[in-house]
Amino acid sequence: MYFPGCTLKTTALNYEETALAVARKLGIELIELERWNCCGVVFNLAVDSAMHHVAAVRDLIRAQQMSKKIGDNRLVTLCSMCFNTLKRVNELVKSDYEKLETINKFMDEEEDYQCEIEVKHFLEILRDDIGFETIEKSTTKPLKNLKVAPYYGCTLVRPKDIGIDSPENPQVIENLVQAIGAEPVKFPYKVKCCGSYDIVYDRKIAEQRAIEIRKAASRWGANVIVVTCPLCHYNLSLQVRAPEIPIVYFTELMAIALGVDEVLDPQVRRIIYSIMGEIK
Amino acid sequence: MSIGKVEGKEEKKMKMVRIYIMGKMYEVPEGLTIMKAMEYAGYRFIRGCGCRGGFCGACATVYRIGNDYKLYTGLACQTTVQDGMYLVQIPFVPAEKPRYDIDKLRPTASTVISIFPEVTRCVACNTCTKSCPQDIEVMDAIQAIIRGDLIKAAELSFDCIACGICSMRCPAEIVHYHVFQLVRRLYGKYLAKKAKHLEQRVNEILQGKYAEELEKLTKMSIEELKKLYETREIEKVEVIKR
Repeated sequence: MYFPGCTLKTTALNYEETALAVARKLGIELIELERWNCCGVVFNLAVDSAMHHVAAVRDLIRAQQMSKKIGDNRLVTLCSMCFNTLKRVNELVKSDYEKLETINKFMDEEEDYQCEIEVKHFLEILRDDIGFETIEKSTTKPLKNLKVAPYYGCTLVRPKDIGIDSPENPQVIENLVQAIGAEPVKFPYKVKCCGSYDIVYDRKIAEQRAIEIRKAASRWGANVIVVTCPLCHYNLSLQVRAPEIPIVYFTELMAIALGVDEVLDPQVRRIIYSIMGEIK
Repeated sequence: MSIGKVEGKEEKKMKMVRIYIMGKMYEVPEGLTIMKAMEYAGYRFIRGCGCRGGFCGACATVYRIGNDYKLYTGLACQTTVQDGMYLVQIPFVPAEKPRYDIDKLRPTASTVISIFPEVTRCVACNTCTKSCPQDIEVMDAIQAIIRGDLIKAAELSFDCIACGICSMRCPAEIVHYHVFQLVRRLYGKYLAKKAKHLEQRVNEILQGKYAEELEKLTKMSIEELKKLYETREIEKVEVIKR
């Protein structure tokens, strides 16, 4: 099952389109939930808050209803933010029975949530279910000359209990880009926060982060930064005095490598092909 | 035979139920709508009553029934009274309608969110959906807007009669019916397929094809108009058997 999230339907359309194309190519069927709502955006840390978990639990119930039909309990996300919120709420209600009961009772128009859904990021499916060897074998167009700064940000790897890889030194993006023929550079800024929603309150914070991260990527020899989150993409792409280094989603690179780049944004395609030395 | 006796007889036949209107108890005949029951009890509607047919959305009602935690909502002209109902009428929902120029807007999520920023405060509690007397999936429609699917939002909210009950119940203080009106206007203007016959007719009107006929009608007396109406051509209507 697949949970897109609002941003993938508005500003990050190409992230979704390329991911779906890549998944099809690798024989993964991502079935969008028939009904879903915004996940709640940010996991609420207030201990006495139940209301802000309602949105995520409702999505988990929608997934539960659909899992019975299709016989698979995995809910896959692309947006790291949705991944973080859905998975943290899922873990919270699994361990806090009282909170689960309060939320279930509040949503008396829905069936109870049984806590049997597993929230996964698409990268986990690629790593654990498909395997990077298979991806390497499926690569028809290795991405030569591409020096990738793998950028994880926060929500994919933190907190540790829900992260898909080490919170300090994750490797999953490195391994993936290696499999598709690109070269990951050493990138000490890979888990530095992009500024996240500070962009709403104080643009300067996000601008400062964009400058630091882009300068670092350039200094470590990268010619492209790979991201997994639409908000990181937005913040790192801000107009600032820093090297103009392209910010792309990992699925956009995969679409080229696996030969399914018909759906790729033509501008991104031009940039990547020109780095590879094949202007197209 | 006295009138009182006849009334007494009828009242015995009628089964009565007890309802509470703004805290005061009344006995009213079973089977009446809330609106008729309130009139039976002596209330006279100056506001909060319109078409009496479930279409205008003027008679929003909120009620509870004894021993039930649920807060129910409905239209007074469509809901029948039950024993032990505690009622209050909501004749008007305070909600300012922002002004906008539909010709200058684009049919996107950010357009709607810039005019109604509170839309993004939705936490998917679904209270709006539970309160809707038209059984609209109100929350899903709001969520469709957030993800930019204005067509879905317009379709889901099609049956909205702007009674405003959802907006009274919403913890995010969204004014759904104004939001949906904007969405349906954007849909009609920019997203829906254009009806060619309509465009053609509008052009005909603009070119004055019907001006003469209309002029003639406006000069007729009421008697003449009535006669014309009675002798008009009526299209045959197919009767659908239920």
